[in-house]
Amino acid sequence: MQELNNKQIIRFVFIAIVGALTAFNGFQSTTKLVSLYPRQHPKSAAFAGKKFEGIQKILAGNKYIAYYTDQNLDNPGPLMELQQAQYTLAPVILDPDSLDHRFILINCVDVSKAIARMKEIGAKPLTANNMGIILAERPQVTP
Amino acid sequence: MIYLLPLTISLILGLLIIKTALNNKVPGALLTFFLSGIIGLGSSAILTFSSFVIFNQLSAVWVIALHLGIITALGWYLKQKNQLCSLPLLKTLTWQDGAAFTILAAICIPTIIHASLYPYGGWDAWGTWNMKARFLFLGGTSWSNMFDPMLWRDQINYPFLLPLMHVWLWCFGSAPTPLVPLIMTCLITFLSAGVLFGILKEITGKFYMVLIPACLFTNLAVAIQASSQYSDLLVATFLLTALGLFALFNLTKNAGYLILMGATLGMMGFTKAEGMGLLAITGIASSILIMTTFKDICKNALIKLWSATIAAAIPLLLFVFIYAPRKVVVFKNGLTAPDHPLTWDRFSYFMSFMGHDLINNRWQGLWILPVIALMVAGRKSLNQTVRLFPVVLLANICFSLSMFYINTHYDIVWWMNTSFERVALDILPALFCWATLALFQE
Repeated sequence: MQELNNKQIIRFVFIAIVGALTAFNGFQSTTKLVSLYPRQHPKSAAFAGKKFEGIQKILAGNKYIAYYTDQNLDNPGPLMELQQAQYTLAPVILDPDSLDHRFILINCVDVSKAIARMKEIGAKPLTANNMGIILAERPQVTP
Repeated sequence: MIYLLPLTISLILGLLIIKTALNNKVPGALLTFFLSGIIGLGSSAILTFSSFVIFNQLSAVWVIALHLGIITALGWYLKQKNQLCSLPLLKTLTWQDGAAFTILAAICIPTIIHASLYPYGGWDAWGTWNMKARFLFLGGTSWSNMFDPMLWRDQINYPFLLPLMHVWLWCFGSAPTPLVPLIMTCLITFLSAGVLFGILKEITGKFYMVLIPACLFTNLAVAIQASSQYSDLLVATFLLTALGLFALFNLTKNAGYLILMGATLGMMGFTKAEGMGLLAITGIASSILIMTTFKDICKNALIKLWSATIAAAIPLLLFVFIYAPRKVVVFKNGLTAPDHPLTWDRFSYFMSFMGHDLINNRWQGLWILPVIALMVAGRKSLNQTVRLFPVVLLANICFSLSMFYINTHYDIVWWMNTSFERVALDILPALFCWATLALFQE
């Protein structure tokens, strides 16, 4: 009988702790997330991958295209943009290490650097958007 | 709304697989529902993969026809045995089941809110899992370009069950909408909570077991991980399901549970690299327990377990032997590599990080509570029903931790900060299940 009581007490204490933790967790999580919602919501819309939308059709049929940026890809921000561009443009594969492809996706903070680079490699802009993304082509290079 | 259709098809497929495997001796209605969900979705992903193997591209018509064909075949088989009707199961539903279902849906609210804040998920969602899904859906016959070495940043050596689940849902739409991974991540949270509750309720008979998943999934750290659209919670759900099914086999001696367990293990192995390790650990440990504990039905039980495991692991085997890229270096043995040797600093950082992380405030004691419960339960935490839990969890902890320490390919600071929480989440629901069963099982 004594053992049964001890067992029941232990179970009761365990469930009471779990219940209290649930109430605390639920309240804390919900209030924190709800308070974040109005401030964070615009951030979710600013998915960098969206900058690269609209050029998928032009790139259809290409396996690789070059990706050029004037930022250091060892830093999380520029790397994130590359990864999100890759997500958006899949199944085309972005090559950030070589410009030796027919199409070059240029994502530069400094537009003058983008123009200089295009001149240097003989590429012509094919299309661009108001978020600083340029798709350039080197007609002399076969895919 | 169109995505309700593939989800319903998966649910029906899962239910029919469960009824066939268990010879209609299914557990309670809610547990059957949640098991149907997780096994059905995993099965749908495997059937979707068949299209890539046979046609070398996605054929939505084939995938849908295959689903309908298998559902018809299983339905016909069950009808022959007069086991097709599920009305008796529905009649067992009580108001408690309804209340539990509502509570389980409610505890997913933090996950749903966070998922809606970040509809594209976390880094590995768009960098790995959802990107693979887009390759599969949009790539045509070039889908295997997702293994191209140029994509070395994107875990190209990982299997891809979760992306196939997304592709299954996308088969019913015209574009790879990001809504599907968002729905899927919330659904997996719901199924995980449901399976945890279902197993605990089935074994202990206590309605208030709904507090256990509630405690777990209302935690902000868990909700953030769950909403990130990664594969980790899916691995955790498969592991929990496999261990729970083994516990039910222990109680009922119905070897049909081992068929379902084997199927779950095969799916888990195709989900993530950690899933492959867990598949091996759980398969071997459960086989040893079957051989030592159930000598009278050992042969039949092992045949059922391993035939189901191998059948469900066919995609994994194809991936490992045919599709997986060969030249990707993700492992350097610190014991033998002279350029990346093991150091004392690595060990001390690794130990201190782990110690600090598990008692960190953000977990709100989620690691401490089950450990104390297991200590209080004492020998009952090793009883026959739950014996597989400690074996698998401890073996997995040793395996994972030694990988973190020995594999010096990655910088330990970066690796622990980006991956430890996710690897830890793999075992958290199973740990809670074990601790609760140890305390409450008669």
